Amino acid sequence: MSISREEIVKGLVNILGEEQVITDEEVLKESSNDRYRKYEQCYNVYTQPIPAAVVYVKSTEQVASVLEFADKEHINVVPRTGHSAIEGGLETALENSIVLDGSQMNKVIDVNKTNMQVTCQCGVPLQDLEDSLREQGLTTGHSPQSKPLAQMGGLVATRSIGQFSTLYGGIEDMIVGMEAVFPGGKVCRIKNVPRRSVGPDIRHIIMGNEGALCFITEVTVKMFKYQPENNIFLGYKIKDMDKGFEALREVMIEGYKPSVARLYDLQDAAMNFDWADDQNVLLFMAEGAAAITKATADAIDEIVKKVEGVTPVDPKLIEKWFDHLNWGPEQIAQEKEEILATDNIGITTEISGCWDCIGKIYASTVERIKNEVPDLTMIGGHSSHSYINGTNMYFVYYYNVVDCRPEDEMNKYHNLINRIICEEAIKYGGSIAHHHGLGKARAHYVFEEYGSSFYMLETLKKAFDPNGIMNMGTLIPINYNKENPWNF
Amino acid sequence: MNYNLIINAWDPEAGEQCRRLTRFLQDTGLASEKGNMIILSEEESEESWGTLTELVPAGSVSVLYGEFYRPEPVLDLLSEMTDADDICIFPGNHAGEELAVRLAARKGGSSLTDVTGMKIGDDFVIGEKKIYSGNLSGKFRMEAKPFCITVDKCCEESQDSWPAGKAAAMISWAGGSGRDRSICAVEKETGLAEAPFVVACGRGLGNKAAAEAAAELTASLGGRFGATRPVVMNAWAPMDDLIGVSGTMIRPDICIVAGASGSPAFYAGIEKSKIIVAVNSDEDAPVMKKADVCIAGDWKEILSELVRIKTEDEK
Amino acid sequence: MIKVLNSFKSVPDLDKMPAADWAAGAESGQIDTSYLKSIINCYDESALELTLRFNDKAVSEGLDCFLGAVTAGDRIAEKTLKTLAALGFAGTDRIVSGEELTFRPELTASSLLTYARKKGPWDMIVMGVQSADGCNKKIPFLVAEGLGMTCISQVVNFVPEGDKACRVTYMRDGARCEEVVELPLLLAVGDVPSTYLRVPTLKQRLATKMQVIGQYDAAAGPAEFNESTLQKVELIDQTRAGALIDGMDAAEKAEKLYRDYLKGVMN
Repeated sequence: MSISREEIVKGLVNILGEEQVITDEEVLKESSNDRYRKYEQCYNVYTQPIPAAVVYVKSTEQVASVLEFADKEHINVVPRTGHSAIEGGLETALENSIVLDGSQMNKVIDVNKTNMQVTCQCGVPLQDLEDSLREQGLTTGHSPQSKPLAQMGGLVATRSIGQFSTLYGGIEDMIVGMEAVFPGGKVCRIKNVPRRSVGPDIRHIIMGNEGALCFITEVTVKMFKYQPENNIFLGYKIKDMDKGFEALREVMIEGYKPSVARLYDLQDAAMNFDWADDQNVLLFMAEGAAAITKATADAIDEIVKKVEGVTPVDPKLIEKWFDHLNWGPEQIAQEKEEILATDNIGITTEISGCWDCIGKIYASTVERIKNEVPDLTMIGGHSSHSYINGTNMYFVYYYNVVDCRPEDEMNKYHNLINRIICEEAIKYGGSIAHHHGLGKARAHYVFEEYGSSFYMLETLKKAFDPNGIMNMGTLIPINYNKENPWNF
Repeated sequence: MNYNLIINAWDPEAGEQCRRLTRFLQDTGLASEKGNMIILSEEESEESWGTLTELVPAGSVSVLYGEFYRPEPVLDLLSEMTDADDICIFPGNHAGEELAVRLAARKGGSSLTDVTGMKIGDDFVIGEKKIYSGNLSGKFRMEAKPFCITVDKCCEESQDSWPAGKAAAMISWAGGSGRDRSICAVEKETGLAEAPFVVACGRGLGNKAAAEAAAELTASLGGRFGATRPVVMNAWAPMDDLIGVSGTMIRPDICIVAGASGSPAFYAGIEKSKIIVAVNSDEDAPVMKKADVCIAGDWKEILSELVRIKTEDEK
Repeated sequence: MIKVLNSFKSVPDLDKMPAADWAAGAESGQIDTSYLKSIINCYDESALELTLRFNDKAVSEGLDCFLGAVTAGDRIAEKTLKTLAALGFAGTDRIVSGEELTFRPELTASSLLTYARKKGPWDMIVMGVQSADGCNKKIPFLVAEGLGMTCISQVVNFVPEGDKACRVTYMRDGARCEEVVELPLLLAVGDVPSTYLRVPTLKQRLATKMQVIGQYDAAAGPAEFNESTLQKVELIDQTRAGALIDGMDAAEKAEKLYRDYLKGVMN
């Protein structure tokens, strides 16, 4: 049935040449997982099957050739660009997988100022793109915390969202056209138009597929004017978390679109802000044309000050804090050493819910985690992406890993916490993932998440990936119990 | 004002420390005043401290010796030997720091550590030193005598010499607590302080394997590998490789800085380099402005290419 | 019962200060670090973790310890005191001073001495050799002199040797030493790799939630030791030419670097 590792490597070398096919042991190990298994990574423990090879492709044609080969030989392929995933999406869950890395396809193809669109290959790092656009007075408006590491292909594949989404939207609002390659080597290109009404929006088959349906080779996203000189920051301490959600909702319903609108609970606020004083924190940033930012900031200030238990803080504190928010390789390296020294690890899981249930999801999740998870050192969270109809909740939690081998940490703590979060989100009618993607971590809850609409996801998978070669285990778990989905 | 130079002979860098103290005397104008040298030694014989007397312009030399150094008995002796009218100058090493501060405390004087420069007034001195992790420099006024200071490791050394001095007094100290003692000399890895070509790497390397790779590439280039504090504190490289105020101060002809943003504590360790080359993936890293030459790029690629070029060139 | 006092300082995370702000601060004379996150001074953090390890060892040998923690600083430092309470420090006190203490180690030392004398006698006092902002390197020595305690500096480890002595490992110029020293003892902790403070669980925090954070007034009047007073702050100009080597790729850049600068030195 399946061919050997050596034959896989040989086949790849035939297509790409030796230079682009990596079989170095350390590289292969590192490519077998992502930051979902952060603890294992720190201890250099690798529990996932080691891939047969990591290949660096330089063109759409090469991607097509590799996928054709993989489809023919039934080899699992894991698409990758920036390697910043945190939900297990990059785990090589099947034996002898191929990691298909597009990070060398890093050309910005076209910056079109008339149409305000920028086209780039999948391996363009967002930080680089954003820096170069800002020099020209432009911005993508997309600023996820992974910006220093993430690349365009992965950002589209995971339906990512950035810090300024309340104004600019998520990647789904920014994307125009794209190109992707499907198993068997079929290349599909979707053109750039402002809107279309020509049947279902098939871009959504590609966007968010997390590598389970195709490999994204090129994307076009919108550009906006970059006007940081008009940014206005606002910050408040607020006594009551529920009132905090109310304040966020008020701002959204009144029609204001600050680019940043965040609510930090007491615990998360204490970790981030020295001045939080044992209270929750609300903060906003208004961005855009001067008249708009002033009107937005003034209105938000008025709305929030009417809410009970609010104390404004110096906006300069918010501005400076914001400047240092993103994670680069240096911080990740530092974090690893702290984890090794203290055996204390911090992780995040984000969910979403409509206004009428988000408060309940938050409160009951925090309560359950406090009661059911051992060795917990911190549980809290913040809302960072709001909509007219609801918001997200970004849970932040830290625990000590006690009397536990690195390979057992996942089940003793991490998966347990994720299960609690997903159970509560589903119970109250929210979604189990807001923007990190299902990956393999939360794929186990896909049935509860989708309900009857799972039929549509399942059919897409069967249609586009009939031989089951695209990132198996992502979106739909490999081993699952349909009757008892919570047991795995 | 009289001055006392106090130097501990067991410091492997005692010679350099003496030169630094001498240069300090010259720069502040004290060299023309009356001064004493006090040598602390764990050996009585002149062999172990004699050459030090050739490096400083002191009027008289006293030697304090004992079986094993502990600050308390030494401080008792120093207290008796120093006058309230004195400036007591110590090297910027471990012994210097504790003795300077504690001596000033005992004698009702004032102290300042890691002094980079000093202006002497009638009845006061203004000492300058780095503050805020080396980002800024501060000027401090000292009025209570004796003024006890340590001289920063980054200060220049004098190249002058004097005729050897004879000890006017040999005084032994005894005591200082402790039993069951073991000492292990820390071999300052030969080469870092003298190497003409150093590659200094920082946290941007990312992990231990990368640090080891960088060290290997450096060796292939015939250079000496060094690292910043975060790198050694994460155990990616041995402490011996540490460059900076807590480690070795280097003065190579060329120093390539890779994967380090250029923190002041580290930069102080390389600022005497003739030429600094910064290699960083971030064109705006602070170190780029403090380098003579910058390359925006990946350190591994650049170093690997250099190895290739050097090998071909030597064929 | 071995009575151990740890003194620590909360400092702004200076690594996060942008270069432009240093320049602005030097010019105006006002260095604003208020918006930077507070962290435990790294040497004090090592000292605290080593003390906890000392305590672990002591307990395993059937010895009793009392751990006290004190800080002379702003209210933000109380966050750390609460963490230390959860980790087993029975004494958690803050010395409240209206003064700006960063460059006044003599004043800080006086306050610590007043406190230490009041709450003592102590068998061990442990703290870091210096802090990142002040860089004074004085406080452990001044406290040792004020109390007449034997002081060992550049400590990298210490373990109990019965309840009257301590086996201390420390660095001196050119060597690493280990010896057993009788208590009382003041230890100034130097560079010790991988000594981050352990993290208490929520349950541990809950258990010590009601532990009082003592408030002590700083010593009134002048410092016990004569001060060296900060008069002026200046920027250190370290700019060099910054000539950029350009090229299509790493090979070309390396070629230029080798040809124009390195060749003479490397061979």
